[in-house]
Amino acid sequence: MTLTTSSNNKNFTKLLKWAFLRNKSIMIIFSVIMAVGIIINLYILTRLSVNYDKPGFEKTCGNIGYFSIILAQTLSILFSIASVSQTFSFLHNKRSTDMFGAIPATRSTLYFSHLLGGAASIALPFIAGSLIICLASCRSFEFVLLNFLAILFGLISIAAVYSFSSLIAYCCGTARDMGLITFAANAIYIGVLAISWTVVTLMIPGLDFESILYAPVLTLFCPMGFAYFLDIYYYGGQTAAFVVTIIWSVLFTAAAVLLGNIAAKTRRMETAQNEFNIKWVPVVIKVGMSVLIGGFAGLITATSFASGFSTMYVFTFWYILAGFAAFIILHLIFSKGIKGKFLSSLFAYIGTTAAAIILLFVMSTGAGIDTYIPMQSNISSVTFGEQNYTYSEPENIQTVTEIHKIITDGLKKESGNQYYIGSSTNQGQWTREIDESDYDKYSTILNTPFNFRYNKNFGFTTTRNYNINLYNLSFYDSQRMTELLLKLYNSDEYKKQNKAFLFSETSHSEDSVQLAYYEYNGRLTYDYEYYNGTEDYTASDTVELKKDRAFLDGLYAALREDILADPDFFYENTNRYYYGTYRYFGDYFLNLSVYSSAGNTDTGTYDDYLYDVSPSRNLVLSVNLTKNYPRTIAYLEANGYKINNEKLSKGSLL
Amino acid sequence: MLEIKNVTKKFGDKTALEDLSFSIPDGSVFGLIGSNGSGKSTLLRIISGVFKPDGGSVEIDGECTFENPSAKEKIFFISDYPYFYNNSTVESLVNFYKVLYPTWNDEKFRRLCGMFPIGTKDRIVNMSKGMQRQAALMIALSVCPKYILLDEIFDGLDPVVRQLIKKLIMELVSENNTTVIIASHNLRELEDVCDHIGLIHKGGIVMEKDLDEAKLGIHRVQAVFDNELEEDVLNSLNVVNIKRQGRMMLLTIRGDGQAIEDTLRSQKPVYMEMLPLTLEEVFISEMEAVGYDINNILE
Repeated sequence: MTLTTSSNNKNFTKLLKWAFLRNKSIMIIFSVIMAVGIIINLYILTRLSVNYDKPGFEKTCGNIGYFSIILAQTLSILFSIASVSQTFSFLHNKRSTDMFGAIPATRSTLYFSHLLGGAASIALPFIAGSLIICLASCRSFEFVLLNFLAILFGLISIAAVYSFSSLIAYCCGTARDMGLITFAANAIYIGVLAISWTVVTLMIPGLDFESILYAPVLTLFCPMGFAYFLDIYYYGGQTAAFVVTIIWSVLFTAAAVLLGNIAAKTRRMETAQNEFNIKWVPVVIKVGMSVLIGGFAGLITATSFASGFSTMYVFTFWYILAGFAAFIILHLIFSKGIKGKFLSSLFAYIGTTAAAIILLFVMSTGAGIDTYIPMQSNISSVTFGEQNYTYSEPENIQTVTEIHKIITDGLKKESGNQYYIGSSTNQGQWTREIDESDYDKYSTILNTPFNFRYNKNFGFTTTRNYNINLYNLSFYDSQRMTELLLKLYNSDEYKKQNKAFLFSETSHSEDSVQLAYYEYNGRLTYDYEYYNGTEDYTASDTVELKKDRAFLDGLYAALREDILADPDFFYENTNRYYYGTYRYFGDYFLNLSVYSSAGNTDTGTYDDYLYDVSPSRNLVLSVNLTKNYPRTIAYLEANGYKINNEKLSKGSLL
Repeated sequence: MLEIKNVTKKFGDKTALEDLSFSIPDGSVFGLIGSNGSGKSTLLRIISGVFKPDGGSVEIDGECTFENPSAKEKIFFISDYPYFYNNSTVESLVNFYKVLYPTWNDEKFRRLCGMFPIGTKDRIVNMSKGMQRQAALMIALSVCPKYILLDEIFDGLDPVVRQLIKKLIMELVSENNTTVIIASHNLRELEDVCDHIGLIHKGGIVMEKDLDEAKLGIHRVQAVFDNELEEDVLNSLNVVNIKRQGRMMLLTIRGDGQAIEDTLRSQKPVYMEMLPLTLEEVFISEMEAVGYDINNILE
């Protein structure tokens, strides 16, 4: 027994080395490509090194390293499939099957030694190359971690792709079938999902690509996508999707290895150079491809040649017709004629097609997806509306869900509980001509993007993006909608995000702090349908404030208090072209602007990267001072800056 | 002892081997003969553990060979077309096999290198078919297996090498008590080296016996009789085949030679001679008996 075990281990090691060396040529090609990548990477880094003392340098280099490793992930996936084809070629050639079948090793030993030896031949160049890139590129722990994780994701992907392709290798009689089916299985899954999701998003309002991007279902049977989705989820902070995908990729790999071992033990070696060892593999591919082709044909014809609910019937007709034609053609290709497993394949195809059609008509009722709003207790924060700010205060979350409900109630009413392909982008009843007075009154609604992203407990995410115009004010409770939006946009959370420069905890660095009156120049440049691109206000009496630290800190403290107490913050301090500036401010308003070369104009926060990209000064804070800012006015006057009260805005629009 | 017990193997709807049973004693050289597609190579693949039988089992020394490395260590199989990777050399094969087979004998390998005109560092795929077989045989003999399975080993070899191989096989048997199983259509070569014969047809065993016994069990008689042989006499003999050329009769008869001779002499032949049968003639005779003869094929 001991002798046998020792002999098995010895044989395992020998076969592992053999499998590793069998991939010598693939390993060399992969290594050469990696080396070229490293040289290009180092060249770019050397060119960038002239900016080594700039704050954005670290981030630029780290990102170059990160994206280089993502490129290496792609190469490693492609080379993994080539390597599996080479490593397990003994399964697909009658003569080599004789050689390997007769050697004194169990089929499990053969399988595991070849799996590990082959995978190592791809993993080692990948690790070595990626580590060199990482060490050359990363100058901060943050990027070292990011790059290391990208390497880890690459390894997870190699393991998953290698084990899955090996399983397919044992199911197939030829290397050609193995390669085709490995790619087809991945492509069919993603393809069917993409077609299905496109159909659903065309039916049910609010759903779009983003709604499924963070759903781990995307990666369920797509091992070639594991690394990319892990990159996306980690980079995008999608904790739940990331954790689920990590766990799933490990489980998937383990299952593929387990099934591979079973396939190895039960393989009929005589299928080499011949037929499929596992008969249902081509059936799955045939049915999957037919569904994909049918779905594509149905989608194109339904969206091109039909409207209203008839799109459903047009889709169904072409889905069946094109799908069945594809099925017959694929069967002829796979079986070299109508024979063999035709009937069982046909039943599988009919069953899948029938299930898909039933599902399609179930979805036309909305299936609860159209009205789904997460329960407040499950929401940790929500990103919504103007500027896509994130709200985590329960009161604000409730406000957002209430806004969402007004939308879903309206959509439900309009659809009459019957969606069809194209109904999500065809909310005719929501649109109508609107007069100018209504526009001013409801400009908040009309300029709000109705994009909801619920960050739920345990890191899950639900998104709904409504591409609709809410111009038909009578179709929903527009009065209530406006109240809710203004409530949200005047909340502390909104204000703190809108004036991030003031409320962030980082120390400030200003190039210039200016106080200026803005005077109406007689050209009302914006109404709801016309903008001529010229300024309607001209700056005058600009004063450069002193950059004394204590003075500025005091000014910021006063501003913070005033902003939080300002009941009209939204009208006063958002994009003035949208909200009837002149009607609100009148002939004058006072503005305080802070510029910083290390700041981000859009977010008001500091961004090192910008320094590298655009070293010019950026506007990081702009506050329109009205009578709602008494503490700030008083502070400025106390510090010797005379404020003309006549030129402060009147402070009321509505 | 190699025992084949009720082995059945099917390829889809076709049955390659059906309930095949026989045993091969240790130290014998077993010639596996049969018609094309009779299942000879399939049987060798089952014995060596390449194919899993659909029914029955193959045991060597009481151990099943399928998925049993300790049993497979005792077997070496050279298929009808030995496989070599593109960059294989004899040297690289030695490195591969010497770890897998504990019975590997370096000294024997060196001796064989002197016998076969093969460069151990040359790429095997660039060699001729015959030389590839020699390379495979060098490896097989160096393993010193207890059971060696050779499929069409004499194909593509020149007469001198064939002689050498037969000599080496006999040497292996005498030195190691190795059991050799050779599947071949080259019955002339088998006749020289085999002591046992197994005849397979359509997946079943037609005959399995000692070669001499096989040869002795079937006889060819050339005779001329004054009168036609009576029906009763012919019926009393197990006549496999009768051919006539004028008055000359050529009879192939199964049974005891002496009894056959006595029976025919009792009919007072003008001329009678018992002719020796080659293995090929035994094969043809046996196959004719199961309906596999040229006349049937031509029909």
